[in-house]
Amino acid sequence: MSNLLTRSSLRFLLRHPWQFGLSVLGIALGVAIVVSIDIANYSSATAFNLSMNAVAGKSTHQITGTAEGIPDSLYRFFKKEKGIRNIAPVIESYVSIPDSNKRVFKLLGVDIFAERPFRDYLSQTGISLNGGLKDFLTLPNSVILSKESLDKLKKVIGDTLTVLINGKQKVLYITGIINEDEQNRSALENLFITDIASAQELTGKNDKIDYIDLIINNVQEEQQIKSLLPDGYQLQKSGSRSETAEQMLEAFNINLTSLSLLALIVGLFLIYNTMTYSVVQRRVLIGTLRSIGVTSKEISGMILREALIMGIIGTVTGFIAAYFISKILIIFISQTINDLYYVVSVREIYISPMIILKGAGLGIIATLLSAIYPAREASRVHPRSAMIRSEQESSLLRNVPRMSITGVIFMIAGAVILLIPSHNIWLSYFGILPVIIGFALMAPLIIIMVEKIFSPLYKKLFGITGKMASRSVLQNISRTYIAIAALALAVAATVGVGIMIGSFRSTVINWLEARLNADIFISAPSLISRRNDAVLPEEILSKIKALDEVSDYNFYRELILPQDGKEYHIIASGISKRSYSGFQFKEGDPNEVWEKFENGEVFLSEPFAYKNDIGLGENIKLKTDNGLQDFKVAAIYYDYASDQGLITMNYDQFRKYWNAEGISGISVFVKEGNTIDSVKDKIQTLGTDGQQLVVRTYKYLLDSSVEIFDRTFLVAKVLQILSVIVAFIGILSSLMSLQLERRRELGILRANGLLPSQLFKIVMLQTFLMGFTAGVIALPLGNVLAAILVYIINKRSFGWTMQFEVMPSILIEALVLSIAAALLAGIYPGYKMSKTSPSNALKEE
Amino acid sequence: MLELKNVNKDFYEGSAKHSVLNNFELSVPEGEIIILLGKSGSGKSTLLNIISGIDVPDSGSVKIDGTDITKLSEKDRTLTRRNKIGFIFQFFNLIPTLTVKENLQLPLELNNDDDQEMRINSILTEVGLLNRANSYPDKLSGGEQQRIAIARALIHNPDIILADEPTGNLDYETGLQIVDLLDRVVKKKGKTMIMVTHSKDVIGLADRIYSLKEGKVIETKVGLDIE
Repeated sequence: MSNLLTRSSLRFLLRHPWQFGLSVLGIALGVAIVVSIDIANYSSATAFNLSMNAVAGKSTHQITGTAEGIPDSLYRFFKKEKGIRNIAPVIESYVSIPDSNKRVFKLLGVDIFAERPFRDYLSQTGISLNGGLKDFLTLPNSVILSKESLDKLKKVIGDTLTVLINGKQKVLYITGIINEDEQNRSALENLFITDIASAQELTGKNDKIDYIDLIINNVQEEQQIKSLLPDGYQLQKSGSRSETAEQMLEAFNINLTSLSLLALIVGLFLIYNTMTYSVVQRRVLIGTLRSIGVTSKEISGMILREALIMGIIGTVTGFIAAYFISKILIIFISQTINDLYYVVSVREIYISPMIILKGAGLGIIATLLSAIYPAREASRVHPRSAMIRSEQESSLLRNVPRMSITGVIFMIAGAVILLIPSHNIWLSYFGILPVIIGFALMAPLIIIMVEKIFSPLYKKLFGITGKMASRSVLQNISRTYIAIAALALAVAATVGVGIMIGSFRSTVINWLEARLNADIFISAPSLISRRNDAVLPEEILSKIKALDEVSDYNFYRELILPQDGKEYHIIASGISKRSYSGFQFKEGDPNEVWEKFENGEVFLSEPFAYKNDIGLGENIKLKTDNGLQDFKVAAIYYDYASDQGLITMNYDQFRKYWNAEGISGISVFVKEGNTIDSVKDKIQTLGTDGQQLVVRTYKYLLDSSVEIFDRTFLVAKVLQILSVIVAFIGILSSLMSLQLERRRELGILRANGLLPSQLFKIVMLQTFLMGFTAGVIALPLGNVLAAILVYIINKRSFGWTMQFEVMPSILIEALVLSIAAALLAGIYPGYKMSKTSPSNALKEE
Repeated sequence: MLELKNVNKDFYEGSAKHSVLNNFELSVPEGEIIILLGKSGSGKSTLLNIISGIDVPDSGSVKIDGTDITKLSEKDRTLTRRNKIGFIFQFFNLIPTLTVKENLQLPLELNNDDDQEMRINSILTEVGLLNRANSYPDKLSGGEQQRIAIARALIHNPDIILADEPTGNLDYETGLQIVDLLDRVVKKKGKTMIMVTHSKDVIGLADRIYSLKEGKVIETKVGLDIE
């Protein structure tokens, strides 16, 4: 039996290719957006982990040090005095190649004789050394790299390569190739291997290494090594760096995934819409089936099978689209990761079974879920022709008060969920869902209100056709409200994210203007825009201080402290009094905090305090060169430089605890009577020994910071556009279905003398009203979403307090977008309706 | 045997109550053809809905072969309808997405009947449309569609045929052909049929004719003016 019903429903779908195709497209886009975000995130993480694994090799543990790494004497102590065999020293750094589109490679400094147990590709048999091992070990700055990297750089063995390491220009000598295989090809692609001594010289880490790799097979051995470690050093598992990276990106990834889910929710409205239409169109058919004995369960089964078919086709199509969309998103996402978090180069797309499972589950289950209600409706179709249309519409209209009250209850429930005190980001997003459903349930009430206002206006302006257009929105409210709600949601998301980004942007600009209160800023070239991972020699600071043109200066040293599986960013500031005003304190008395600061207490940035749950007056334990040390919190200040958070302390106090040489950045005030550009040029020449200086003016730094900010939100904007496209398809699909449903009515109108152009006008006036109504719903909903994003989601994700700023331009744009999308979607159905043949339409029963 | 006792059915329009069937009683022995006459809104279609179990009365009983279907669940009423009743509609109501053959196959599949192919061919021959087996309903004329609808109502060998104005949507000539067909395939097969009609041409088929008036049934003699 089900075979015949399935055949019948399949033919129904094929006879309505527009509806079927648009629904599949809606599902496909929803799935594509979610899956492509997942693929892009996963590919970035996999690329990072692969490069980590290529470096970590088979090591199980690592000994890490404090600020400036580990003295190589500690390595010798374990290797020679304690006789530990599986132990290897490592230096890691990044090099960029100026002539190769700023490509970044990882430089790995190793002791080739200690390598055999750790990295297969570095065992001597794995390396083909032109000139033998001798060149690699004896030639200064000699490197080996994979064949693929050599080809990409268009180099051969024996060539030299000019690179930038920590802002200094260096010349490397290519002395060999790493033998690569399928497993390690991708990981080795961006790797330069050099001898540990060359690495020390290239990175300026004299007598020091970054960490020590170990292979530890039992707990006793682990305990023994731990007991031998001096204060300030720790033994940690090799995977912990990848875990730290994962933690850093957690909030970023969750927010992207949530935005992508929004597109899927818009898609769900579309599926719901289509399934409802398909049931409505077949009321007589379903009624006939019921009269001849098909049970209600079999009818709902038939509708759910249709949904399943659409879900499967949509999901598969979505996967194909996701593959291509993810290629674009990877560029944006890896750019953001490089800007904000760490260096990663994503050259391949990685897809995990989990992504496929999640995408397929979302696409198919979501489709089935959204088809449940229409299937239930279908199963309730009264046998034989059943309820007539007007009855159905009036039954919905009768339900409007109940729907509106339910909507308010949903919104209150959402508010309650959102107000639950929690750091959980998913809970916050979960709280948005009832708010959205609440607004959707209010949609019919708003449609009625808008129609009441527009009906006399339309009649006055456009005569009877205008009246018909406005009435038709209400007459077909059971169809139009879903389309309007879907468009409203997509536009509201645009408004919400737009206001959030705008608010965040103006907050950041205000903060930057206050914080960057100097004329010129000097730093070493950095591979990560938001942080300075390279340092300048201290003599640069002395030279700048000595300049007559400089009236005052600030400087800082940034230290990334690996501790407790996290990375703590310490900013040690030598700050002039005139720059105190750059700090805006959230907690702490501004009149007292600076004295405490001078005396060794620290300032915590707002995200740091939030994420680590540390309050004013409490202590924070930090791993110093002299072991763990307590630092009292003197103040909590607003800061938007890092979502990981910062610990700011006085530079002199800092140097008591950490032997971290060098300066990360300097800012100077130019004495009156000098131009900023001339002083900038003068500072530019201060670099010595190949040290490159990045010297920027206030304006340039402000502009480039804002540029990075805008780049960060590019993905969000792309996702917004895709959501609007899904909603656009929803409106198009609704109008196409209405056109099918109203064929006879339109035929009668034509038979009574209505011109095709008048029919077209009716459709356009109708879609204008639908777009306008969607806009009316979207504006308050968008503002509510923005408030949730600003006050709850961002706070819980990143710990930032933002000023809420409603920009009228965003609201106007949203209304225009809403109306334009609706009008655009109305063109084809309007054309089709105007071409309705009166005789054919009237012939149809 | 079909038996309706004390059947009441009211409809409400706002707060106003309209009584459609008022202590309605009817007994139809097996193999009898009953024709129901009555004005629009007199409750003819409601009666068919109640007999088929599509609708339930507010009170009273409807027994088919001794089983009171008003006491059955919605699902069991559907299964009774599937098994024991064939429907013929004024507007044919064939499934547009199934071919003629598949439309006929549907009741057989619903009832898990055997020999589907043979029965379909046989009934198509009987209604004279064997050559249209693979056509879709929208390719058939109104008369042809109704012939297929009659074939669909009969193919699973139900005990009762319910026909709601089967000639109401057809021209005179075609209507006569349908009457002839009903005579051949329903009457001669000894099926029980309850037909709602306004057509005088169908009256010749009837064993008994009833009029529905104010919710009650009155037996009418052949030859009286049909309202």
